[in-house]
Amino acid sequence: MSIPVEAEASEVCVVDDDLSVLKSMHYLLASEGFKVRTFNKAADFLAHASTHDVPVVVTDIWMDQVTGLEVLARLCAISPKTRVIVITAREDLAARATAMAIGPVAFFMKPFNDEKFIAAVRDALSKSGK
Amino acid sequence: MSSDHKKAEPSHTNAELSRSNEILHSILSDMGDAVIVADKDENIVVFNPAAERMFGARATDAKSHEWSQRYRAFLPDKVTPFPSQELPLTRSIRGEEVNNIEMFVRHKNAPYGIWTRITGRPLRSSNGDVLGGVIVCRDITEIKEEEFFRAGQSRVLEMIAADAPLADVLTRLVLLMEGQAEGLRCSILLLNRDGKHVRHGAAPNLPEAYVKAVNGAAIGPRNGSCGTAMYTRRPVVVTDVMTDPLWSDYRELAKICGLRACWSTPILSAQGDVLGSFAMYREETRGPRPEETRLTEIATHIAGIAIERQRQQEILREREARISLAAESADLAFWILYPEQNTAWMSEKGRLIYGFDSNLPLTCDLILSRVHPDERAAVKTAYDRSCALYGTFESEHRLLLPYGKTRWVIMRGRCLKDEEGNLLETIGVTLDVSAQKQADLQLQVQREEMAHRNRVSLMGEMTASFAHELNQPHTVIANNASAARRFLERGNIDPALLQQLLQDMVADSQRAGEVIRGIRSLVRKEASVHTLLDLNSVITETVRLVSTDVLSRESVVTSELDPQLPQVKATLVQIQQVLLNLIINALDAMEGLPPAERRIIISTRSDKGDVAEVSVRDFGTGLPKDQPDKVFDHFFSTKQKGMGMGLTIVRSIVEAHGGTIVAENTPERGARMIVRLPAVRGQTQTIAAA
Repeated sequence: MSIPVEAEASEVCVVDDDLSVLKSMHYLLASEGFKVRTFNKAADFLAHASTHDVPVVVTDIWMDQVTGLEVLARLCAISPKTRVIVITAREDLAARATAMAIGPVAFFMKPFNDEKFIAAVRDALSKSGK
Repeated sequence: MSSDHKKAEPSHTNAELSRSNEILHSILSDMGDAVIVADKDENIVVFNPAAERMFGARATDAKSHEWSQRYRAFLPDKVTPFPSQELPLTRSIRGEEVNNIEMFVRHKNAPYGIWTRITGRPLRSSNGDVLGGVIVCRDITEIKEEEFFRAGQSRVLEMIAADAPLADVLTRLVLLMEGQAEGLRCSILLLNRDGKHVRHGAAPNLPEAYVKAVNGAAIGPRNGSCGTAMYTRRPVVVTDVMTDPLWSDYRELAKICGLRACWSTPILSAQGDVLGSFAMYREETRGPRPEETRLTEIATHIAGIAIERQRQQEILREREARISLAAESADLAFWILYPEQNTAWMSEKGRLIYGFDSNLPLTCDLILSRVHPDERAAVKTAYDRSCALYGTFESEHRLLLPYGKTRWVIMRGRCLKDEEGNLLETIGVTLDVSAQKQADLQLQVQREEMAHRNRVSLMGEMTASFAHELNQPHTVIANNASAARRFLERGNIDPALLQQLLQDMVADSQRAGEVIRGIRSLVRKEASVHTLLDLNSVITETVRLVSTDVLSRESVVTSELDPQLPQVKATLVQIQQVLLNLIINALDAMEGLPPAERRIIISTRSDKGDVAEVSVRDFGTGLPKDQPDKVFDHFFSTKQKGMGMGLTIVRSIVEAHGGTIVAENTPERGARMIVRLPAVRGQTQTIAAA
């Protein structure tokens, strides 16, 4: 089994503590030819982000151990240029407001419209580093 | 008679005949037995002196139809005149042989009557013609009286055996003794259990004034015949109460009552304790004759048996009454079964519970027949087993009473054996728990009702969690479907990848289904169904259900689960309910803390394999220090929003599972709720929480 990946594609990081969701995000992004790196634990992603250039990250904001909001806050410090797309399974206006204040470029409620999501990722990638 | 032959010889001279008549006359005169001879025309030709004494009259010219009247002859019933055609003499004249006919005779010289036994023979000529008849009557009065006396004693003993009232028994005994001698009056006095005073026993022929005066008197060394006899434990013979110093206190009374002599003998128990006294009174001054001493011996012996038996019955009845009282004040029915005899005894309360009339004689079978048919065999088996082992038994079952009424009872009993190890009796109690059962039933309905409501209210809090839980698999399905479509559109899909995408979609639809089922089981109002549960799995599942709440409250739940935890028998949703409540409570308790300190530790451990223990520990403000257990009370809440019902429900559920729950403050900070449920031993099969 192989997942076709576009050459020269930029890498999209995905953080979700739900392995099934994580895997499906990987497939979805790969189906559009994105290079994907998945993280099951927020801490692992933060460690990666501190040593690598991360143009775009797609993250859940409700996770065990470290909340998505905390990831956002730390990411701001580590890698301020990273474009953040938030996906969440829970409708929570306060969290959404907080997240937007910290700086994500998009906010999606699971399950989401795939076209809009792909478009948001593509947009984020195109704008990253700029 | 050797002379009979000679008498019949025709060669005898008149002188010889005369001589022979003289001898015969002499014999007849000296005989103790009555001899009467009549010719065939019913003329009495011989009537010896014994016959005159016996029948109180001389020979007469009267014919047989008058004899019964003239000689006052009666049948053995003592009142019916002997039928004249059946008289032994009449029958012997008719040519019959008569053997041992008993006849009662009464006349002025024998006012008490005479009993006689009569044998009769016809007198025949040498050619066989009947010439007349002869009867010989033997006085059997003494034999008959002895017979009657013995029969009288037997009747008294029968009365004792039949538990007739003591007063009746003693009165009958006194009358029997009095009937044995003329002019004899008797009395029986009883010694009180204080050993110092007497009370009336029986004295049917003594004046009432005398009886009253003696009743309640003290015994002592100079207290009349009876008081002294009981005091000294020896017979006391007072031949003249008018002069005897023992009678100084009773002399006047005795004089009025016409009593002169009084002989009293103590009545002793088999162990030698004084029970009372038997006294004989006479109107003349004299001491007892041998036959009176013999009567006294018999009377004291029988009276002793009667009094002792009555005392034992009294003691038994008192013991029974005491036990009954104790049992009834505790609302217990008390019973004794005698399985060998198939008889039983039951206290009044017991008869009430089992629906038996007060007077109905009880049997073991009858009592068993009251057990509900569905449970009768099981109860019988439990009972038989305990009988076989001489052990105890306990059974909770239903009774089915007449008219279809049912009761719930708890029956506890113990089998007792005698010295030889034979089953003697089963003694036990029955407690009517119908009301309690009814209350339990209502409580269970209420509990289920409450749990349902509680689950519904919890649902509000948890809807968000469930939404999250459902949205996760939906996201997977949507993402994968979308990815597959894209790969297909681009035309470069690896079939294995497509298969993987589809597989994951199937798996996540199932996951979504499980979440929905989980919600349903929490909300559905269903009666408890116990299954074998692995608490560790239930905890993991429940923690997953509340994970969103935990996160939104910026708290952390840590599980420390003992892999050796034994299984429990419980209703899954109810145990989930307990855990949910405890976790939500712990979360609530830590609301005021900084997020870093909001921790919950759920741990399990096994206590010797007998108990599965779950503890939920928080680091919150803790429980009221003086009464941590008060949190289980209805409507007790330290929370502003809380209704205080949560922990009450939790405790109800835990207790319905035969478990316990304890609330305590931990030494450092916060509270710990410890749920202990009885473990199921030897069970390895697991029904996981799902």
